Amino acid sequence: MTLFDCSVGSSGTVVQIGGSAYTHRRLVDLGLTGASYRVRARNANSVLVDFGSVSCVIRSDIAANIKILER
Amino acid sequence: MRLALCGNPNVGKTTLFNRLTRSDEPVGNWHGVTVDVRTKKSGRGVYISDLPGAYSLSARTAEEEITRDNILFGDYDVIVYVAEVNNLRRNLYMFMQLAELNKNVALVVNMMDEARGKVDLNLLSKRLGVPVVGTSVKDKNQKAALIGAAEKAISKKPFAPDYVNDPAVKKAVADMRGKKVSELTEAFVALKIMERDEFIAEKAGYNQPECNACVGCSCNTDLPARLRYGYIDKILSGVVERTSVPQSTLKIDKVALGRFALPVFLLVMSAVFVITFELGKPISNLLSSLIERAQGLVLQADMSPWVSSLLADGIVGGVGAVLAFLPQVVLIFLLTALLQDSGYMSRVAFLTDGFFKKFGLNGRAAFSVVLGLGCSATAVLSTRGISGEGVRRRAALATPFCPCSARLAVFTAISAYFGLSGFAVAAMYILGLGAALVVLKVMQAFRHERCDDEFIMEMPPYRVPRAKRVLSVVWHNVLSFLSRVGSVVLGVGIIMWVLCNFSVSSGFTGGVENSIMCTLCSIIAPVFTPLGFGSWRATAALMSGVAAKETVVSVIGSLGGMTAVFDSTAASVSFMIFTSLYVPCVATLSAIAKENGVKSAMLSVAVHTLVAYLASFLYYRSALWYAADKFWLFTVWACVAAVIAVVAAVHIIKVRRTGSRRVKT
Repeated sequence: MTLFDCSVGSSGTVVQIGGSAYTHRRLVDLGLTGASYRVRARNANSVLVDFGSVSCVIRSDIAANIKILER
Repeated sequence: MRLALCGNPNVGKTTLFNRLTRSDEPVGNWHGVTVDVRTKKSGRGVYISDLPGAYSLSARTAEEEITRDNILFGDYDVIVYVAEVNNLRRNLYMFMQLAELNKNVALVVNMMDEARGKVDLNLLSKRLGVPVVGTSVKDKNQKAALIGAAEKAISKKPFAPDYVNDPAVKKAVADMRGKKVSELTEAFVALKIMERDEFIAEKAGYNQPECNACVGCSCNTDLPARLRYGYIDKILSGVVERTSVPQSTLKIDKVALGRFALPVFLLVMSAVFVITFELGKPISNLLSSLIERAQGLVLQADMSPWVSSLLADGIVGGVGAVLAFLPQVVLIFLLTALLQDSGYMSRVAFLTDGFFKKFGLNGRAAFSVVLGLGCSATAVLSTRGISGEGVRRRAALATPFCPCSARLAVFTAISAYFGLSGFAVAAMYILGLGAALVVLKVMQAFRHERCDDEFIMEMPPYRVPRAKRVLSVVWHNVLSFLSRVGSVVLGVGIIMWVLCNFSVSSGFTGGVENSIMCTLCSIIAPVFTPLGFGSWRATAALMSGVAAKETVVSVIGSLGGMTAVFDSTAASVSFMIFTSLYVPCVATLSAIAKENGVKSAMLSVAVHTLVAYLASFLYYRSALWYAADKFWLFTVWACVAAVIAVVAAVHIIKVRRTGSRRVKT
């Protein structure tokens, strides 16, 4: 399951980050590997996710490369 | 002592810089406000530089490159790293990279007044082995504490995190086989090469093997991040309480980003325009009457005719015509500053991302578009924060289509004179946005460019806008507007007055007919005849607008006013459309040339002029046709609409077919 498949309000842990080298690097630098998440909002194109006290807007195609374990 | 302030975006570096150096640089509750290095003196022998925000020393945007280059190769005695108290874990990630570099570093934990749990700064300082200072906007003695910490950091031995001795890092250093970058430590270079940082690898002359697959890849590019975050977690254990997003932010976002997101967005934007135009109108009228009175007093004074004409028409009339719209300009700056400082602008970026993506941009471009309401040159510079060169170029080309505050003065003056409603002014903004989108779509069609930016944006929490910060932003922008009025508008006003009141053969004529300007602009004016304003006066106003758009109104004023320039309401609206879209001012063009090269600036001139000409032509011809024969006008436009609908339908069917084929494969 990926972050793209999550509905608003769902939470869990980020297991693995894929995608292009560029995006991968950026998400890893933000400390998202192993971080717990909660989906706050989404629109047709992107997902707004809270990773602890940090909130990020992630485009759907990138979210589809973030594997998660839902709680 | 040379001191650099750096840190993640939106942690309050510039607010701190302003306090330390008594400056007034723009600040905001969103990332990417600072796009260049600013250095100022703060006390005896202390020079402070404010660097743009960055998440890591592996740069991804043009502004991050500036920060990286300044930190790696800059000549600073000490780096003061600014972190936000509620995001210490993520903020310390870049701090660790400074430690890997063996730099003299002091840590400032900012926004202590907003801390959502206990924070033990003494324990943090002890564990990190660097001076740590806590700051907040309420602190009065920030300067002494910060300078003291910076001096202490210089005298102390730089701290090195324990993971630089990790066997994997040691092995990576050995694998480099002596490949070094003279200013950088071996551990830093090795960690960056492990991360596949192309810039550092190139500097070290290290050839990296090809690698694109990151999941399950043997390159282990995540190891440096794991080591850093592992170390940060160890350091922060017992220092800070784990926190989450504030409840107030979650509650507001339920409405602002939930089911009512679009109505809320439209309501906010409508409120901005209604307040700007309706509240500003009476004050603007009052200012106009005061300026007219001043002009009358000058004309009554006992002076030689040319001095009285210069003062009344060239200076008071020219500058006054622009100053009359100061209330609207102040209001639009105030409202956009409130939106930015509250954190709502980042929500706008989230909401508009999907929309902008269809045109090859992303939600980050929304910041530039809103900034463009104030000043196009600033908006173009703000595109530096957009990652992806193609997206950045497109955003810089499209942003000046959004009418700036100077163009607002032109719209307000024309619509007020011809009795057009506020909708006419609002229509100019819609037209500007529409033209930008059409240009972006055409660019996509011809160059087959797609949005190559991978949009990841941090969402700040909502904050109550701080009066001092908002007023500082407004003051900064109004001062810039007034300085343009006092310099460019005044200068152009005087030059235009000379050109309009003197002729080559007979000197001072005291009138515009037979003047130098009349002769020069009469040559170009026929080009604008199909648009309805083929008079030399309108041409002169447009020419002056290339220097600064504010001068258009002042030149119209000094050339005899609206009635002398336009012979009909349709012609004035056509002129308004042309002014809304035509070539950006010199400041904006130089910003485009600086960011994307001279070719881009030239392309901008060509595209804007062409679009402006076409839009004005279509409007004016339709207006004439409407007056002559309504039936044929509607028939022609109905045919055009039908052709567009057919083309769009064919395009949609094509896209859907390609999509279904992709799914099947």
